[in-house]
Amino acid sequence: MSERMDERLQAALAALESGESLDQALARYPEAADDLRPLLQTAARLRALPGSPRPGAQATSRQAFLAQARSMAAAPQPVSPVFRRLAFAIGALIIVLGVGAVPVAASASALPGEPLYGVKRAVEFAQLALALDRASRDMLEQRFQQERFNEIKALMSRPGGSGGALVDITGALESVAGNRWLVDGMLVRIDDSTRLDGALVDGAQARVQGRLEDGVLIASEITTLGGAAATATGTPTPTPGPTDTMTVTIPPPPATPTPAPTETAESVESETDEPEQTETQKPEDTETDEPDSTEIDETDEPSATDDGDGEDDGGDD
Amino acid sequence: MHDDHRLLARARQLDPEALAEIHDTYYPIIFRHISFRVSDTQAAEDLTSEVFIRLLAALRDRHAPQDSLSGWLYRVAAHVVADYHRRGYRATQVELDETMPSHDSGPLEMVESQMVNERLRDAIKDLTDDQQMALDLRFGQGRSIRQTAAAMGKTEGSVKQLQARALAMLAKRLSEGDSVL
Repeated sequence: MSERMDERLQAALAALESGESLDQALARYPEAADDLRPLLQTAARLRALPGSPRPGAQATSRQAFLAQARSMAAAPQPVSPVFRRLAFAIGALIIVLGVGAVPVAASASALPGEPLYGVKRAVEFAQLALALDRASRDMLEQRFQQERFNEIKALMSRPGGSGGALVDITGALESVAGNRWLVDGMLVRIDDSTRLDGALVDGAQARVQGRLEDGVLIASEITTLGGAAATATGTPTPTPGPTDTMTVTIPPPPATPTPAPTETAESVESETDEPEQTETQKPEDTETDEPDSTEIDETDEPSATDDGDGEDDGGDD
Repeated sequence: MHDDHRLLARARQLDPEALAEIHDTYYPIIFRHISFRVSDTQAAEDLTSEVFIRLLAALRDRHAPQDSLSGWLYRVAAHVVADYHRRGYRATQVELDETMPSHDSGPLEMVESQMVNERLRDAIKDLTDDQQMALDLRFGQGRSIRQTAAAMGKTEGSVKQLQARALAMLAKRLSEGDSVL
């Protein structure tokens, strides 16, 4: 872009910001109007791009945030794993109870993507955290795993379709042939974008995350669970996509990452991953000035172990 | 200017008033930052909450920022959004929200507009980090060139340059999309 054109663009943008219409701004430079119009239209679209949170969303988030803080304050560090689990369970219960108007009982039948689904998962977590012994916990985990399958079946049979709902199941790999796998009787479709991690062989226990589209579960990530693969025997894992992209193991937040304390402990502990910056080749910037501060310097990404914990280096606006 | 240093000192003690002030102050900013890149409103809300939950975890683990809360929150938000996009999820439903051009628009125009917005968000992901931040601050947060330059630690000329290039690239991508349709 020429210097003159750049000046015109800045002036036209300033005119728009001062309240002029697009046509009025373009009328300032009729000879450049054809070049300026798409740029100004794009700027106008960008202004309208961010949405607003739904009514009550900020208040709900605030409530969960403060409830989590209270549970943390009640749990001095360091704490034993048992105590920590109990604290998070209390936090989860506070959140569940704290939302007040949300009927917890009604969340029992919520499906992925529905407003109460986060509450349902928070209640499940609280139950798990409060389990008195390993046997009780295993029994609950088994029940919740089955519930995930039931949810998918319910979504598939819903008249309005599954609507791209995010799902997360755990089960035994019964068939790993081709691009249509079977996980505890559930058909799972694999495509080139599916991330595979671990020894994915027949009989292995695996976690499948994906989305439902047109009644089919399309996997975005399949990960073996610890120990299961070691004892499993069967055919080698098929490689439907590039194998060099199948090494990432990231326990992500749930499909609807409700701000429950349950997710905090796990998500924070998993923050050693770093966003992949190389998925797309980005153009080089060639502006020549040197930054003299780095308040919001996106190039200064937190390191692999710095996500959320790095030394900050900027000021505020 | 917000006194982050004072606020963070109290937040490290898990002072509820300080934490509430942090949430009240930064939730709208971080939400706009995230919804600039994520079209699904509910997902943007969840991701925004996730950023604040991570702040608590950082406070607990004594890894919280010392001075600049906004810079820290922006960076964590960038990670959270990257994780979201990395999971490859894209909502298939088209929400009819307030980003529509006009309430007088018909349903078809509204859906078309939303589709263009989706393409715009896709194109934004291909910009450099600096370009994305410049556009976010300028158009997403409504800051002036001077404010954007101060926030990014760049000169005003540099921000103008980033802005001009980014707009040109986005306009080109949108026009390519139009020709395909």
